[in-house]
Amino acid sequence: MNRNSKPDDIEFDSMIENGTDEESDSETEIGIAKSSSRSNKINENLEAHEVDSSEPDDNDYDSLIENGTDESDSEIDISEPKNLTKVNKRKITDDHDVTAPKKKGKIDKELYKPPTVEELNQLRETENLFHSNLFRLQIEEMLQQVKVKDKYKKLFSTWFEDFQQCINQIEETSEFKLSDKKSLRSLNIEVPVDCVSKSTKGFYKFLKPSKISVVGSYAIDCCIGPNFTVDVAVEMPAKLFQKHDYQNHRYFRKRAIYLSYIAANIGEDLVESKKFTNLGDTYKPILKIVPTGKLSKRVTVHLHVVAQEGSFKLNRFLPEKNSVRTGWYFGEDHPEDDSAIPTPHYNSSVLHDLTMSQNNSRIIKTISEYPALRDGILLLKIWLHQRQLGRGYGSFTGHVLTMYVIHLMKIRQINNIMSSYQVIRNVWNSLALSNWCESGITLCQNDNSEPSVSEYRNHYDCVFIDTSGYHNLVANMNRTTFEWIKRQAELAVKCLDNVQINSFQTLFMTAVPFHRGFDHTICFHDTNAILQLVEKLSPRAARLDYDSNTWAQAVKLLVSTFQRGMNKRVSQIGVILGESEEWEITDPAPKGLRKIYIGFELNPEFCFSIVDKGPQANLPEAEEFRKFWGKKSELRRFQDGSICEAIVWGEGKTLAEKRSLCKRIIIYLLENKFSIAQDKFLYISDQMEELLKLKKIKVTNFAYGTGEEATIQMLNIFNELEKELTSLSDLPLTVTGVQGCSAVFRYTEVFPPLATIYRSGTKITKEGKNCLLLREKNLGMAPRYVLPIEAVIHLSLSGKWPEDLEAIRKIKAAFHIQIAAGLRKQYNLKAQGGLNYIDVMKGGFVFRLTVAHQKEIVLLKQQIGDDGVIRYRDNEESIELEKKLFHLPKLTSALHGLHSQVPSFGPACCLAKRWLRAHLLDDSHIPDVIVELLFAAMYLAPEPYSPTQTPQVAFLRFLELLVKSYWNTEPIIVNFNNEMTRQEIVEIESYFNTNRSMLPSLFISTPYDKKNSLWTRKKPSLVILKRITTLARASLKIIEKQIYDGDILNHRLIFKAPMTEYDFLINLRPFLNPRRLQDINLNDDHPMVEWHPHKSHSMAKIPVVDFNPVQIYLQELRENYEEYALFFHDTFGGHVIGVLIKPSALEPKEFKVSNVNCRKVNDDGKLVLNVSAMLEDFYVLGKGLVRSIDTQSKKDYLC
Amino acid sequence: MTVNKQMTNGYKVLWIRYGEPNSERHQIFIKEHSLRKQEPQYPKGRTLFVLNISPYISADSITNAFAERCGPVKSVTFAPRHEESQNGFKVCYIVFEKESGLDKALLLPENYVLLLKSTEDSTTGIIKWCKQYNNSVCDEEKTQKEIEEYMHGYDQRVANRLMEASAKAENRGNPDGWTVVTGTKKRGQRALLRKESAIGKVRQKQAKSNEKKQLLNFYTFQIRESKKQNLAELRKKFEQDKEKLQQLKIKRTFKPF
Repeated sequence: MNRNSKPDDIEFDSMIENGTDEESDSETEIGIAKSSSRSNKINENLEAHEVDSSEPDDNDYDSLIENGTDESDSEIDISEPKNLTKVNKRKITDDHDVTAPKKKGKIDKELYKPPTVEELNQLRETENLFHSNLFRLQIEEMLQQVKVKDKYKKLFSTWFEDFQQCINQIEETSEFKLSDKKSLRSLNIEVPVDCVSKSTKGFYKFLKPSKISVVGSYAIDCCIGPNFTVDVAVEMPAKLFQKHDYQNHRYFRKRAIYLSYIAANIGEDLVESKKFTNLGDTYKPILKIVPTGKLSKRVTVHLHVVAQEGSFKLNRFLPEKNSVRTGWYFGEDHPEDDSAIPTPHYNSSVLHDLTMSQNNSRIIKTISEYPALRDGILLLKIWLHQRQLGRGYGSFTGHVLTMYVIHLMKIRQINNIMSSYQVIRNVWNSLALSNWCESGITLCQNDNSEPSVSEYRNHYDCVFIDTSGYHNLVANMNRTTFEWIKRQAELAVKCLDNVQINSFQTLFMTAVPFHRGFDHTICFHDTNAILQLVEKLSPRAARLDYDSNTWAQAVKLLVSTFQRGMNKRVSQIGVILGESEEWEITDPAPKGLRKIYIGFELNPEFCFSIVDKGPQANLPEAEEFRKFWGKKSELRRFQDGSICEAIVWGEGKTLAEKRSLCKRIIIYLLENKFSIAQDKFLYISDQMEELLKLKKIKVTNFAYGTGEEATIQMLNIFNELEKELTSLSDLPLTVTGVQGCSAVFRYTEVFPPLATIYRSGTKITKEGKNCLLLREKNLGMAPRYVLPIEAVIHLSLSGKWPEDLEAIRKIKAAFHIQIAAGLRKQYNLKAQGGLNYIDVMKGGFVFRLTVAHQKEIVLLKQQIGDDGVIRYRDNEESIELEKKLFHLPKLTSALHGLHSQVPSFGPACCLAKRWLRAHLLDDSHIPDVIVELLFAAMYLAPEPYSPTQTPQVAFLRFLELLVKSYWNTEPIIVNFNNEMTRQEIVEIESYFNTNRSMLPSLFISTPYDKKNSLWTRKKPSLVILKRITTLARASLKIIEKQIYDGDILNHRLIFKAPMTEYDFLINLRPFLNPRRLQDINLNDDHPMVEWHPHKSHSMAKIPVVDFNPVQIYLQELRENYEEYALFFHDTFGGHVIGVLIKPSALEPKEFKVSNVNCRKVNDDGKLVLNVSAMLEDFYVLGKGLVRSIDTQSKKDYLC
Repeated sequence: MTVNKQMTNGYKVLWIRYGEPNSERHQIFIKEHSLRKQEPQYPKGRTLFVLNISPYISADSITNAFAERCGPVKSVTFAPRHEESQNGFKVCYIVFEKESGLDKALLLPENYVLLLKSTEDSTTGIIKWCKQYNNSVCDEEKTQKEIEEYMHGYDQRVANRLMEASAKAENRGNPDGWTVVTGTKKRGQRALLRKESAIGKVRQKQAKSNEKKQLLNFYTFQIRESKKQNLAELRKKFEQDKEKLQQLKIKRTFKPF
């Protein structure tokens, strides 16, 4: 394929700018003769147009458009985007001449063969063959990035020649006994595969390899760069083997010794480092080589030792055959009947080597015949890599993938003229439809002599037979792994079809790490525990078959048990192996144990149920059920009258508890079935939810959990209140509806208000008429913070509202007072009306209601133009009011709906808020609503993930979103209920692209507010966004490192804000902070505070609502000093305000009236910031609240 | 430290301390207030213009401080720096009873430190906030009364305006002895207000009805046109995509790993 190289690109760019170009240009640039001649024609055409622009042939134009598609297939020329765009550009320039329809003239058709054929085809073709222009262009860009550079190819080929020579020069040796270790000492190398038993018979010697070749992806030019691995196969000659060498690990031992010989003899001049490693299969160590010189930067070489074709007869390795004798393996004197115990995995390991060259040559042959497949394979490989699907033992490796593509080629699902896009689409499609577990596939041309696929099915989970007809390429793949891949392929196709997301980004550019893809992840970090488990529980036959591959055995045991135990709760299980180990060639091979990660994707329909209903008690299955669950299972009578075995996993009082049910089950299974204690593994699911719990507050008889229950309780009371409001009599206009606007209504309030008794001592408050008031003198302690729950009231329509803003406001206030009076009178509620709102206390909650009236906003917007026409224009005030009274309620109900669909939404938002606030970024830096909208965007278009049931995972994905921060190039589209059509979205995108510089730094579009990005107009600022990105990156790094290490998950680390970055720290008196109990760093020895649930009491008054001195202080600071400094504070009980002086404020300024504020004149007559006086002001403003101010700035001019 | 007056545009530099005698000082800048068009409330020769007053300082404490040094002060008025924001640092006009007061103020020694004392209405911190909170809980009856009064006034104003308008209309007819007879319109049948949206609607309606009358794919040229349009759109999209790609390229987002 001819792809643009860099310099071409530049030319191509400049051309776009210029728009016009000379003929000569195009000839030099277009490499292929055919197309250049074509473009010549176009040029001629262009000139013709210029000469005779008054009479373009419209007729031709027409016929062309109609015919366009027919011709397209034969002329596809995907490989030349350059060509395409050039033609295209030209067309556009001359298009202007043509636009106006002119009368038809008789013009020579040959000469005027319209220039659009090709272009039209290209345009159509991209829509048909390539999904979209952008997709195509992006594919090309990306492939270029991952291509291996020619420079390295050249370097490698010279290196490889030397390398071959070096190996061929290794001296051959005479024969030694296999069990004789002494003779190997001279090599100074620890042979990576040990003799299993002393009684191993046979001899070994070193003979020159029969072939040394590059195999795998590098050989077919399908490596994904820029760092790449080259697989080199060294073939042991058939002479080396004796008849029975295939048995009893003798082949492995020989292979390892052969490898050791090579390892010992490769010179320092060729390699920078050489280490042993294995790719999951402990039988098969390989040599990992880093070549010397410039290659070391990019290339690693994996040296495989394989056997020459024909060394053994292939039918010795049929899956039902036994190749490891029990007598030898277990050291028993009276061996069982060996033929009854097949060793399919052992066999396939040997077969792999024997068939390697055959398969490899088949691949090379096919790919060289059909080079167009290459791009498709590359793309698929990137896709696999991003999903970690191709990693490790028994996974869907690049090799399997290539073979699969060849298989599809064979069965004619793919053909040579397909574009790369069509190739990947077809591969995914057929992968999603295939089932290698039920009906395997084969690459072999049926000759009858080969064994049938069905024979293989009995011994392997998945079957994909290679070209030889004997080797199962996916012998080690688990059923779950295959299902996982299948599902991913399904998702990929869906993703391509989903027009509303950028499928390119999600499919190829986004990494999908394991712990973010699955809802729950377990990491078995204690490898010894796995070893013990296998020794104890793995059946004899499996041990014989797998030997030291404990990993495979453990996974088999664990996964099958989990699947049984979790039943319908889990929709997908994924297994992945930890990083492979490497060891020095002089060291003995490590035990070959790696960490195991198992991921669960939960099925939201079942994963929260507290009871597992088993079979009916009298059925035979019941016995089995009891056996599996042991004491846990008990007989229960269900509501439908059936008596069944059942297991109850919890009380199900809170959602938080329900979320933890799966964890409970898994831990139970691990402890009881495998006796693996909790310290041997790490269960990553809900650790962070701890931050949403009430640490030191206890409400009698109320399970708080992570706050959802309090929200539900509030919602119930609110519904009652709504009914009461709508049935209020004695009002001139009836209340038609009440809409909530507080975060509580969206389940996203980190600490929702609780229905409790509010009591504060007489030292703090005094009684007013309806409410408690504050004592003004010596307030030593702030009363408990009561969060008002805000809602708006809609009144029935009336034409009698006044036409004057002030009058409307007065009427509104009158309504407030009257509604309050009505509530007091009719329902005996505590209510207090006021100018701006009504406070109502009901059921232990305080609601703050406001009458919303559209006319108020209309009047705010109204302007009368010069011509007397009334116009309506948004202004600051009207936007703020409209946001509060109309947009927020609408958004609130939409987000509430989203939470009901995916109940992890609320707590996930809370976690994110907690995290942001813990880093001292409060509502004034990044408002709550924006966090929620970002989450909503993530939940509504979760690709490449699927919506998660675990808040913690959602939070990690959120961090990832912040790290990526595509804010500048892509609008965030929150498409509630898919209300926006594709067209609308495209429109928004193009609006975004054309107006980027005018739009806020974070642009969010919702169906209710498409182009204004109402919520992000002012905040967050670019500085804060950058700060958030930095914080997110650091946090994610810490968490992921912990997960990769797999030992402990200390999430608290990422919720700890570094305080050193601030210039000043204002320390506050904790007792005046009404949210002090929510502090994230609250001491563990803080005494427990007990609150009592609400009881109605006639004397109770509305408590002090929304009184938070810290917030008022912050507000005053920001209002007065925002020009000079930024203020940071943790909303949830933070005792410290971080102050950062803006660098711009510190610069000395000329004396001007506009500059004098907060500054003083220095000796040079320049104005400089009067920092010390400003600090004094901070004290004065926060009198009583501020305890001390620490200066910790290193900038000396501040002090 | 002596600062040349020229450097400060003719402003004199003083210091102020707030509250305690040994706290940190702010600089203030003073000057006689004199403009060509002097506002009447700030008479010439008696008004001092002060810059850079901290946000929490009240008029009373300034009055007290200047009265002590320079003789009786008639008024202290703050003017917000910007029209819209009430917060931040302020400027103020001090009007002295006598002209000598201004002279005395301007003759204060260079870098003189004024000591301001807090007064009743300049409280800050917790006490202020408590007060604020208590005041925010309004007295319903009182407010109700205020509203009623206001609405009463408003209704009267509206009624007056209507009366005037009708009187005007009557007058217009009168001179020649003619009376204008108009059709009595019911509610909701009044002529449309001259609103932008209303005008837009009418235009839209017109356009729509025009559109209905036209046949869109009748003539060959129309079909051709629409096809061309289609093609142009495809191209436009292609161009846009390319542009987007350029942007992405700049951000180097094409490295998958």
